[in-house]
Amino acid sequence: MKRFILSIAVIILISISIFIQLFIGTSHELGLATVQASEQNRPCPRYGGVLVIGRTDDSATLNPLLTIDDASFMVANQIFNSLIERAFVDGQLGYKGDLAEEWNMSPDGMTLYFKLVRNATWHDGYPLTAEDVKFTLELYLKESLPQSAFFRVIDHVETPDNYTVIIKLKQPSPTFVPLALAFWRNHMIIPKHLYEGTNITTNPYNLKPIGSGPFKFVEWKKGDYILLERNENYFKAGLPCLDKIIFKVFPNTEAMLKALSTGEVGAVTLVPEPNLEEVKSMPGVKLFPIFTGLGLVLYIGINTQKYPLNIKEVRQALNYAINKEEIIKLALGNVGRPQRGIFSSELGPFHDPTVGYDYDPDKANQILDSLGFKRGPDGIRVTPNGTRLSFRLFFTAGDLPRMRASEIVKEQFKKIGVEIIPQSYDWPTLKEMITVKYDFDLVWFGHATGPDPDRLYVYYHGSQIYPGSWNYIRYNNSEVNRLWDLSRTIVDQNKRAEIFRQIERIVMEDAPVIPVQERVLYAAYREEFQGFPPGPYWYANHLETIWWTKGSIRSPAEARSLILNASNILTKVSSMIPGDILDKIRSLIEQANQSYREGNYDRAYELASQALSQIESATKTPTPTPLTTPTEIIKTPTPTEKVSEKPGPDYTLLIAITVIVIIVIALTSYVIMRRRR
Amino acid sequence: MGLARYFVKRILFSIPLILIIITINFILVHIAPGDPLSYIVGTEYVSPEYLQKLRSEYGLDRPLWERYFIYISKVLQLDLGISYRFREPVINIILERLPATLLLMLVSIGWSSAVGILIGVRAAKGYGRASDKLASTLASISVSIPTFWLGIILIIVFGVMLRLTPTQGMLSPNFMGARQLTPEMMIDILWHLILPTLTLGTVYLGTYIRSVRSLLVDELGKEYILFAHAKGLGSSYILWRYAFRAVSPSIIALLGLNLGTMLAGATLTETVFAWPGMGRLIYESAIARDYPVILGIFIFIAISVVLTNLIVDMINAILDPRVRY
Repeated sequence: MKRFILSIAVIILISISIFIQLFIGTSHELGLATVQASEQNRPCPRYGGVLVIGRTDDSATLNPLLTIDDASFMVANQIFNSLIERAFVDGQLGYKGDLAEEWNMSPDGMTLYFKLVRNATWHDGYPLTAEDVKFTLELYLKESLPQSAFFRVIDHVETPDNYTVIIKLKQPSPTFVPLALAFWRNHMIIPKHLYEGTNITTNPYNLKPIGSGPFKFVEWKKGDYILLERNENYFKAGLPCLDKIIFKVFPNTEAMLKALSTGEVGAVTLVPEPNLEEVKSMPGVKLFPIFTGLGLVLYIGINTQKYPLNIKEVRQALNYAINKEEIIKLALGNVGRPQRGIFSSELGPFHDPTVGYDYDPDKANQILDSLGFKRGPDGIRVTPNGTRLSFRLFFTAGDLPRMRASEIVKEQFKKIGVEIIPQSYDWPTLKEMITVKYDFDLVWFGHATGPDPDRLYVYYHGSQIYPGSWNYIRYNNSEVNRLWDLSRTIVDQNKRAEIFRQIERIVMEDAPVIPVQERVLYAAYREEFQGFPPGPYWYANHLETIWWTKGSIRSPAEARSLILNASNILTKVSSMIPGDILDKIRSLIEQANQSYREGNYDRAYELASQALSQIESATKTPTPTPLTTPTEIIKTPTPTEKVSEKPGPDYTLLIAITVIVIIVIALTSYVIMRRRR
Repeated sequence: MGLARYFVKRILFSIPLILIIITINFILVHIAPGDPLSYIVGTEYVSPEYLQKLRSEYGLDRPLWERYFIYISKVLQLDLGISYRFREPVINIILERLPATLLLMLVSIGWSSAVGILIGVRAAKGYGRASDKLASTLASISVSIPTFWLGIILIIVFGVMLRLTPTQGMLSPNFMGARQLTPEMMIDILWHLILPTLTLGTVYLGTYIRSVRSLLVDELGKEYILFAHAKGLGSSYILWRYAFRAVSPSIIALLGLNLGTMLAGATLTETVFAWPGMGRLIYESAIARDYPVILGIFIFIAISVVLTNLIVDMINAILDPRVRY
């Protein structure tokens, strides 16, 4: 029996060590690249630190051209750059150069000029030039990519020199810049030297991307985390502030928020509406709105081809019967605003604020009465041909806010004699039911316009009705189609705004949807990190200016250049310094390097300057007596002592584990001994 | 000779078994509603040409039977295909998750079986007495306690309130991306392992206590034990050398059963603790309709179950000659 227990213990121990070893696997080589010493620009208050960002979805790909979802875009945006990006310019929503230093559009709207920065390099050291930009833009035209449709208006791309890009369009396009170049989906530039002549979908660099952005890719454990680290050669001087960013995937919101409250993560990508109060009450945690000007609208889509929902008056009655304020207050986190039309108020002149329906159940009842829909014995109306007004209201499984909202809609519709049966499916099933089989009555849905309402073309234009398309409500109004086509030929924004206001009025008269909420989404961060929000839409902004309050005041470049300086001088004068002092100085420099690697730049700087002053004093004193100098060195508080001051929770842990193991072994042997007796 | 023939026979029987399992899984996975592309696309607008390209790239435009034969022929060439979601070979994705799952499962099964056997033996020895009742109560609690609830309670008490242990994941941020395993990193992993393994092991514990106890109680009531007592052998000697040895094949079978399903991971525990194991991979892949990954994992699990059963049978065949025929 003793042998039995012993062998089990040994097997377990061996297997643990083997599998931990396996888990580590091979990984990236951390090396120190050289940094220009002349860097004086200091855009960050402090440098260093590791930001762990919690999220519930993993990226699907890191190739920005194949990216579709927010989770993928957010990571790709740290690794790559785009020509221009949407940003706050003097507090206003506008555009800012990223790779482009200057840009402008010709008066006829047919030509766009971009002048690129000259010091941008890829993470593998190659320079980023106009050729890379041309190559990327042409890929959109040549290949079928998720965002290709927005680039079809490009005629060709010219590169007169290495740092100038000229885009010629086929026709003036009001939507090219906002939708193709710098939507919340920035189109990012990929390296020609790694992608030319390869299959873009299977290129191995999709999984270990080489970009030009503030952070370099290190490691991706699928479904667990993505690790990025500072790009020391980033073309924006003095950026980024952080050393590392880790995107960590959590299986659910609750787990993610628990980690936020304990400080295991520094920020989360999204706080769902029901959790807003909980996060607000966490000490040291702050909420911030994820986007500005996204135009995200939550609505209930209606199957406009299914009796009796194909009757316009029925859809209008449903619109009258919805109390949006109540739903927002009770179910949707009490944030955002009631939504009246299909376009968000963030679109300004493109949206007509008077459009839509007020809450008026009496009017809804009147309409339904006039249609001859009489209430049955259970209070639910019945159409003249015997169909009960009973509709299924779909939402995605696990979507708590929509589930609660459905219950409120159910109560509100009961007042007008309409029955609602809330039902949920997982997303692939739901999508198939509504967009392919059209087997639905009502469904919770949302769409976003970004900076231009044209984005909703695929939701409301009659030409977009086919299986799998987003016009799943199958709305087709010839007047809307005509106006929308017209808007695409006009560049004058005032005229376009007028057309879109008219479109919105017609659509809301037809009422193929029930608008409910203009959404505001929140994310959260811990106060150790500053610089939130990094831009108008944080899934599409570089996180280069976010900084850690416990970081170093010295920048990594400063520390690095001082260390290089010290070691250069040391090699020159090493013959003049006695061996024991030389060793001491070498170890100081080594420690400075170590601190640099650990991300403690203040300490690295301090150690390097100590090394420098020791070199100085050693070379100045002609022949230092071997007795005094070493003792002096011992007297000065050497860095090694300071390092050992660092509290070592790992040691207490080791001791704790050892004690536990000893207790377990002692108990086991005691039990076995007793059996012997 | 008989032994070798028995082994060969068993191995040959396993092959069609695995093929049948693959077929059933293939059908099950594909009759579930939903299109794999709808997860990839989400609620975004994607040009129809790109969708068409993906569909033909993944072979989703072919009829199901054709896809089945392509899949089988690929599996026979040891190619599990490419994940729809990550566009990476399925085998890489599975192997990346395997160590975490094995670590969690081995440690959990290890401690729970060791402790469970000890408590079970103790209970059987003191049959009907206080220690037996205590053990039975413990077993009942451990079997009936919901995993996710226990996990959450442990997180709240040790992670959030006492701040003693990390609540999530397997590795602290500063060890991510490390090139080699340092002692500090091993301690960090073990530290992350404590709560999940406590949770998962508790679930197994009750099973071991109950089985060992009932097996031993039966065995101790047999006449040869009475005879051994009459011979004047010590009760500990009888318990371990006679009774325990007699029931050990059943215990090994139980261990084998648990170890065989080990690769499947523990979805609930892994989800509560954000443990990057196979259980979560199965769940995520099912949500995403990532057919190649789901099927790949099923094949892995099937093979491991079949193999462990094979090994258990072989051990039993060596221990007990009656099995061979």
